[in-house]
Amino acid sequence: MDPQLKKGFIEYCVLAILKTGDSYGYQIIHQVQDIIEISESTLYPMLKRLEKRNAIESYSQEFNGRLRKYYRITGTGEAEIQQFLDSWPLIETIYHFIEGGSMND
Amino acid sequence: MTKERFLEQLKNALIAARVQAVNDYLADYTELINDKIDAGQSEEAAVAGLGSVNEIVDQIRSDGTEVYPTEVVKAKTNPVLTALIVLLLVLGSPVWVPITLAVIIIIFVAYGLIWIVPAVSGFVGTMFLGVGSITIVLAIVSLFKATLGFGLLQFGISLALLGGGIILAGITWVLAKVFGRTTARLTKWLVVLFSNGRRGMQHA
Repeated sequence: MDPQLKKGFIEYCVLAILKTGDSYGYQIIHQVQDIIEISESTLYPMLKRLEKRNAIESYSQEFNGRLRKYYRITGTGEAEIQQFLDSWPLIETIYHFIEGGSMND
Repeated sequence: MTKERFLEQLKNALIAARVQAVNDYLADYTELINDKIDAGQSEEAAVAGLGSVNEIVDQIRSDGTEVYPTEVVKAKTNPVLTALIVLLLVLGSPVWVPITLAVIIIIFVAYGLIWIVPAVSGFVGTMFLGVGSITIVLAIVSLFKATLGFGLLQFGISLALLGGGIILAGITWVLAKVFGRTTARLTKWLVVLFSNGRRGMQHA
């Protein structure tokens, strides 16, 4: 898959995971990996990016005597998911257009 | 690789890549390694699974916003200070112009003094050789045209002059080499003196 396209899909996957409940780095990687392949080096820059545009926010909580950073989705993040879902008919149209073009070859 | 070694390498690479929030990333990857170890992975496997330090830094850098912009080094010039220096140079010209001229003259005199000895020996040696060459020709003529005694005397003086000339030429050659090195040292010393002074002014 195109790296930029994949990056965008993973971002929506992360937002969708956080919509079901707060999570932390290691858990998010495993949850995303059930759907789409993600390298461990990709996750944190992505989480920082989502945090920067206020789609998610983080907080620390003690676990096993150490601090663990948890992430939760914000209203902006939920709006981004909705925006993606709303654009699905357009994505389908584009998909069928591209599919038709390649079948005519 | 151990966790500590990996985190040390990551820290250095993040700093070198001018990445912002270095400590944030270090905390994130420390937590991820700890979580993987808690989940049953060995420390080495937990670290290996993260990929190389370069991969991580490339991922962070690819976003661009996470990186400090490259610092543009620009010479800082203060217009007030520049104006003040120019004013001081103009007002102080009656003092610094004669001093500068005096220093230049002293430098030239120093060079002159260094070379005066080989110049004199070279000049005298050349004269000896020149006069000796002429008189030896005249001596040969005198041997036939004048008396034998006068001719031999002139011949002897000519040989003495030529010999003196050759000795002086040799002395001049040796002196020229010695004073050449001295001149080079003096020039080097002057260059160092002036370049240090200029650097000092730039740092001021």
